[in-house]
Amino acid sequence: MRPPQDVQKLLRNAQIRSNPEVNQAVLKDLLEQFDDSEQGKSAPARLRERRNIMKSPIAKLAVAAVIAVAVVLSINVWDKSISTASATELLQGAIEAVSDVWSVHMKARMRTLPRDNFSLIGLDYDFVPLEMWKRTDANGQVQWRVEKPGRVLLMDGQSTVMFIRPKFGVLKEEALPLGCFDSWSGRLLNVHDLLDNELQKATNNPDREVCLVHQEVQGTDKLVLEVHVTVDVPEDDYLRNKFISDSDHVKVYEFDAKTKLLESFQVYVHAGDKDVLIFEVTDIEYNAQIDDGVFALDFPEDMIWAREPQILPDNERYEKMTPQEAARTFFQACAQEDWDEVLKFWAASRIDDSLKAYLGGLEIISIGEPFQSEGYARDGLGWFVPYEIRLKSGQVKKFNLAIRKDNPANRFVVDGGI
Amino acid sequence: MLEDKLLVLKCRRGSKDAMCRIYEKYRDDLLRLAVSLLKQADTAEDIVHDVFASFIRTGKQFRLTGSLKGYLATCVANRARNANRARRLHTVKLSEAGQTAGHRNRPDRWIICSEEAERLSSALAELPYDQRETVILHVQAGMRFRELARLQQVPIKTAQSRYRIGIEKLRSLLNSEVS
Repeated sequence: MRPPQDVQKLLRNAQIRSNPEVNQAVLKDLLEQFDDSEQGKSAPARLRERRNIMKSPIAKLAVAAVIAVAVVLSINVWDKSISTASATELLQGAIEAVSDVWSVHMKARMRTLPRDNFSLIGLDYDFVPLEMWKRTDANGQVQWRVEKPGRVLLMDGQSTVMFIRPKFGVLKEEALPLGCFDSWSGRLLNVHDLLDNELQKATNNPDREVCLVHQEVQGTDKLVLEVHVTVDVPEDDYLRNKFISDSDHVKVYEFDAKTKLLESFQVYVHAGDKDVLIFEVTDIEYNAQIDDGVFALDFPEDMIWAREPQILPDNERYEKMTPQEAARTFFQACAQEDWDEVLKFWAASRIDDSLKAYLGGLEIISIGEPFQSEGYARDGLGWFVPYEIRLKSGQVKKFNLAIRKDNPANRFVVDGGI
Repeated sequence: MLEDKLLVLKCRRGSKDAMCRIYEKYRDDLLRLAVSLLKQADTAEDIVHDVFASFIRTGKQFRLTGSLKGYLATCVANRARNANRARRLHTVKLSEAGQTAGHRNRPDRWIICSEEAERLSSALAELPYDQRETVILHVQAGMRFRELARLQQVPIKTAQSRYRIGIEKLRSLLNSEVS
């Protein structure tokens, strides 16, 4: 007997093809009807549509497309369905325009959590302000800073530090590039590289959906470039829509049509039938003097610094742990307030008192089956372990502990989810 | 999908390319849906053609609130139901009666079915229309029971029950075939 699932599969997979000749004939007829319908359109109807359409942010772009058509027909440079080649021309012009920019100061806002990492997004999170600076001195030395309320990322020319307020830090004795530590938005400061990257992608992927529209905003000509990105992340993946890179999204660049300088940037994430504005550059300033103090940081005396897990005398015991065993051992150590043991799962110089107060004496209610996500696979070394604990305060917390063992000691350390 | 929203907007702005893209994207899905819902291939073809033509006519005022595929599938389902009702009201001539799945692959036909699809179509034709519609729209068009209930103007439980009984009957019909 066929089980019901087989019948469903059969229905789903039943193939029909359509006759190519008839396809063309039908399409020809439909396009003729489309033309007839276009010619019958009255001017008042256009105005009415325009008013309706402006209510949606995405739709505003489509309104821009109307203006684009009008402009395009008169100057006869681009047609209304602007090709990747034209988008390429625009990007090339924009790249040239920013090639002699020596400082950038950007203000932005992003739907994220103030104290979480720089890339986390949430469709229903409130906007959090971001501020970013970059300058190149006369000797070619680059400095930059990316800041949100709970974190600062600073590269002063020699070293890179991530300061997590109030007193946790990660120090790298090297000049890391913008975008390090998941500071996705920092890449925006590299306007030249950013646009160059889009140019490469546009050139290498002729099928990539790139739309270019020409619009007038408050009397100034703007060029708007939309880049549509569809990701290969399953709908039910845990990290889907938690990072821009794990979501279907559209990037909207706006350039001044004359100077070709990037003036604004937005990212909309598509979720279900909604398009949610996730990130928006609100202000860009080029070639302005930036105070030296921006590229220096003062740290509290009792700073806790992150450090790579060291190989332990009994390292083998920890190396052999499954994700579930590691999570259980970590929480048990917290329950017993055995902070030396906890430290073996914590990539830092010591355990902060506030963390001790938070996790000390907890009670484990359950540890679930570990799972992986494509966005956190880390070559198979990153896992999420569902857990439920009762804190000493009585609060019950149910979440997923992120643990990873892509470190020289080859043992799991806690990476998030506390 | 975001792409569909933009396509609809571009269509409204007169983009033939967008219209072509919508046609290419959903044509075969809609043909499959129509031919699964109706016994007569030529009626199924007419319905899909009419749905696209109607989309063009109403496109100026059309605002996409859900999925475009869902909208077009609902249009096909509504027209298929009307066609099914109309067909019951007139007597089919003997010369027309054979134009079911077995005659779908004539050279002038739009729809070309695989053998498996034809066998399935014959089995589907044995189901009462409401059950067939529920099964097809749920499995092939991905419509939820809530949406189906609204379309058929019945309680959700009725839609679920139609689906369950329809699948069971279909299973029984397919199992009784000599393979």
